[in-house]
Amino acid sequence: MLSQKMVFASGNEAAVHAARQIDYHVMGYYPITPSTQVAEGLDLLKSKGDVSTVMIAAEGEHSAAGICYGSALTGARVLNATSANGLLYALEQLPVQSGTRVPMVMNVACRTVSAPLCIKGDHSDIMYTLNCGWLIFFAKDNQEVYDFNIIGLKVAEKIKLPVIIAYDGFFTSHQKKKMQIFENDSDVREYLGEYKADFTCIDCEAPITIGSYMNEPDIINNKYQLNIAMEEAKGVIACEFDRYNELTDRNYNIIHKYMTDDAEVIFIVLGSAFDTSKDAVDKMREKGYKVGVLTLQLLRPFFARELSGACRNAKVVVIGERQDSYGSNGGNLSKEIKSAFYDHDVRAKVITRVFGLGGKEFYKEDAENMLWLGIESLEFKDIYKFDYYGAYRGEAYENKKYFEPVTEKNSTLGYETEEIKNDNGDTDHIAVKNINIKKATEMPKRLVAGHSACSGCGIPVNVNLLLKGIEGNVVLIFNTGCGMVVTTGYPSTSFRVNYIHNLFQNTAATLSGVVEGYKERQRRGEIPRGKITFIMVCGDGGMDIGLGSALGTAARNHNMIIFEYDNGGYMNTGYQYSYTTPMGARSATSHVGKAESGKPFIHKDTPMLFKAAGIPYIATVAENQPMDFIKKAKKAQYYADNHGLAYIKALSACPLNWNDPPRHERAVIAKAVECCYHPLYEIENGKTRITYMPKEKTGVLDFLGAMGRTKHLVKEEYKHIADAIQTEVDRRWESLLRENEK
Amino acid sequence: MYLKKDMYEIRLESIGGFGANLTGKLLGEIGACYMEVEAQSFASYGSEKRGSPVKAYVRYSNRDIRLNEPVRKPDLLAIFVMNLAGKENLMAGVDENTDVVVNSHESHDNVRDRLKMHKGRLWVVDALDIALECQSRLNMVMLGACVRASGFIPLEFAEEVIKDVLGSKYPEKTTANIMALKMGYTRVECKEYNDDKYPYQKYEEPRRVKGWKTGEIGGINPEFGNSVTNSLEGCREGYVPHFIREKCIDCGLCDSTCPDMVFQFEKGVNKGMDKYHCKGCMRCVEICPTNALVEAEEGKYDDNIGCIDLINKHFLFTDIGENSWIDSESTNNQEV
Repeated sequence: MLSQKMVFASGNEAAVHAARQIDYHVMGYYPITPSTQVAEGLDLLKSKGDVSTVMIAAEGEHSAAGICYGSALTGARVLNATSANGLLYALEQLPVQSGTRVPMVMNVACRTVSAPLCIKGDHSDIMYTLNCGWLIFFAKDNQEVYDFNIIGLKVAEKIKLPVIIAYDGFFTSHQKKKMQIFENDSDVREYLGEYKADFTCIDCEAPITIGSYMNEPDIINNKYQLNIAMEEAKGVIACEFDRYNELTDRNYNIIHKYMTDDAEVIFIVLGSAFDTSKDAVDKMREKGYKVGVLTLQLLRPFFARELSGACRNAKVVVIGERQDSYGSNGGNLSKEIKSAFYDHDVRAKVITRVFGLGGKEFYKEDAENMLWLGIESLEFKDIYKFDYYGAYRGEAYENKKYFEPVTEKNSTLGYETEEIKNDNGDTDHIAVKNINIKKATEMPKRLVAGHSACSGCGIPVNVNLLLKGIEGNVVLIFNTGCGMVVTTGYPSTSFRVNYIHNLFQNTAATLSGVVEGYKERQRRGEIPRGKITFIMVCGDGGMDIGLGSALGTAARNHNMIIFEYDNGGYMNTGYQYSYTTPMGARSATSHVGKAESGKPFIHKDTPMLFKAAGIPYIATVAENQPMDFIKKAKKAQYYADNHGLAYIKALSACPLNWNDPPRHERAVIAKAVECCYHPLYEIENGKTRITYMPKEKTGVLDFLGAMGRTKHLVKEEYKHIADAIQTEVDRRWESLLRENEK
Repeated sequence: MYLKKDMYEIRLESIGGFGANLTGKLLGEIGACYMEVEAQSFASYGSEKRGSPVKAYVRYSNRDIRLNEPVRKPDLLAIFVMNLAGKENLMAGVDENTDVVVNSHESHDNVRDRLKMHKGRLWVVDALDIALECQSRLNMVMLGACVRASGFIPLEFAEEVIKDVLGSKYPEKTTANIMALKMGYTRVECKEYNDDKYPYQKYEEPRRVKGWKTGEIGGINPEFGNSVTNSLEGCREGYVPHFIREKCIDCGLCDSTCPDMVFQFEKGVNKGMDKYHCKGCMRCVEICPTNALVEAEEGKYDDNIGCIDLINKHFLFTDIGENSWIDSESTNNQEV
């Protein structure tokens, strides 16, 4: 046995320990709860110089999976980590990776797939990957996360298939427990050996074509190869478990059994619930009941024979599932187990209970109840074979009305707009009149009090300033981010108007669908004539992952407003850097240390991307100039009503992660404006107009030094970063000045 | 052997920003790495978002820890902020065998009454005061108080964990942190309650009124604006703005900077504040051009006029729940 040492670590940290020892070439990822800590932890190690892994934060999971695939094609060892909707967004890449036989490791901290959006743990995401041709290990605790990350890579490289290491989101990913790791990193590397890919895309002496265009008669052979590989994997995995046992004294079996040998009732459950169930088994055994519990270490390949062997003597098998394959009376695990039993003549009665969805706790008593179900069904025949466990009927409830809705009636304040034509008779610009801050206090709040944003948060401030300028009916759409989670935590909602939440990647497209559906239903006379202003609200995260869709929507020029509150980071998931985070800023994925100096590249200039799309109105706003803000909102409404798409961007404060006092946020925003890091301008029908000209343009450090996350940039050692930001800010400002003069 | 029973369970109750999660991690670390028992530490996954309730759990055992559930019947319960008094499940599982550690400057009897504590040993420490005195943080003081109340966790292990775990990250704070730890340990005072003044509170799994039969399909929510029934007073940290009508010129700037829709304007006139929803960020105090808004101690003025837009005022405010959405385990930007 090779020497081991104890660490106190969570499941995500366990994956980081393994990744550190493996020293992957590349990690391509996109932050998503609850898997993000894997990238965060590895980045922290990188900043200290403990690993040399290239960390690439993609602008979405689809790209992250692409980065991983590309890197793996060079013969590099590659890591990814994701969850839930991120996994589904990346799903398309998965069969490509396995179909072209390129190994890599992906950790999946399992979480509920939305909608309704839920960030907590269940197994609804991982089951989508069953048909993707990846090996899938399922770890029940932190120790297994670590061990499977190592064994999984070994098997993957032998079999030439990518591997997923799945574990329970939060229950396992965030729970710290004692565990053992190899004391010497070299032992891990020695066990794995050097990786030599069978083929790469960079050996120019031996050119190959990767990803052939392949129809019948060939594709069936490619898939048959995959099938053979999975069959081979069974033997390889068993071998590697044995080998690993010799090295570590940690004994893994394909099927992890507890008191099942003589059990009449066996409970089968995946993940962290297995350990809880062991306690329940002990208790029931004390009472004389012959019960046991087992879990599977692998979902792919599926060890049907071994599982059936373990259940051969049972009379009843109860399967607990943290997901459902709706309409089929069982989750995917039940389907697989039943099919295994059929093939191997296991006669046990099978009962399925869907439990613990969305992170619902699984108490010891719940495990006992599952076993009781089995005991009861030994005697009584009329027990439902399939049901949900833990859903409740609820009590009768009459929805209450707290406010009048905000409609045209109470939100028309008499703001005036006038279209000013140029010499050619085209719209030059819109003049807004009869609008001021005091008058705007009369605008009823469409976003009401009681939301749970952090104290001093800029999001509600900015959303309200925007809506102060918008008269009449409004429909809002948000994509995922702090703005939606703090306002719509069920059964609570802070919206007094219609509100939709949809995915990161396609919210702009979704709203364009709403706009056109509304117009067409009006045209057909199905709904009365009327006017609604359609507004998308998103953070800078939404403008990273959803940028393609937003630009596509802009190119189509639908009648709508896109409002971006840019706080420069993925704050909702614990502050990982976004593409608008200031260069050099400290974040959970861009640490500042001897080998890393914060966010690696310059902040994205999103308004200019919209300028290129040619939409009629673009504006930047800042809360320290509320009057300008409200006026621009009104103009945007005019353009959305009459000309097409309007895009507005606000710099939005995040006291928690900017790491500055909530009370000073408006002053900090003002500094960003004064130094032209966030210049105020509008682009109307292609014509740029600077709306605020600082009397004396300050240096960017004036702004960056006011935030905890960037205050280190003031130091001499980071001068090159501050200079790079200054140069870029100056370049953008001068470009605006040139355009302004035209 | 440190543990006198099979399993020792700790629950920490706080709101985000006070570092309870870290205290939990350190207690876990003490168990695993110093006392060398089996240990487990996790949080209510709500994390460190400023202002939202956080629960952290620690278990020690001499054998494998198999449970993953929240601590329902704590041996040690620590309450970091008294604002939490009355919250769901706060005092759940507390009985004559429980040590309850509370950060408060009030007397034992007052604290007990506010918490409606059933029985057990109540340990009170003015952790905020000590933290300020030592220029450390409240969670270090609470760690010291918890160590003392446990009766078996050696203080020197807590010292070592601070040096080993935090010292590498924040070496300049180590002395202050250890001073805070020790003062928490020595200054915390105990009083035992054994009468039946307040009943035992059982842990209840949170449930909603609406279920699969009575809730709308698709998870839609037709009760627009109902978040107004959430009280956010618990998010405040002892201070709240006070509005002086005589000085106000109704400019509307406060309404433009308030994230919580606190200012109640009617036809352009500022009628006052809805303090149920004020989180005490003081943005308005900073911006008010006439000093009509000033920072004041919590409870000093009775000037809450509520939300005047409401057409239905017949409801009870509910505390914003432990609806934990955010995964900011990262202590990257948080000073310890």
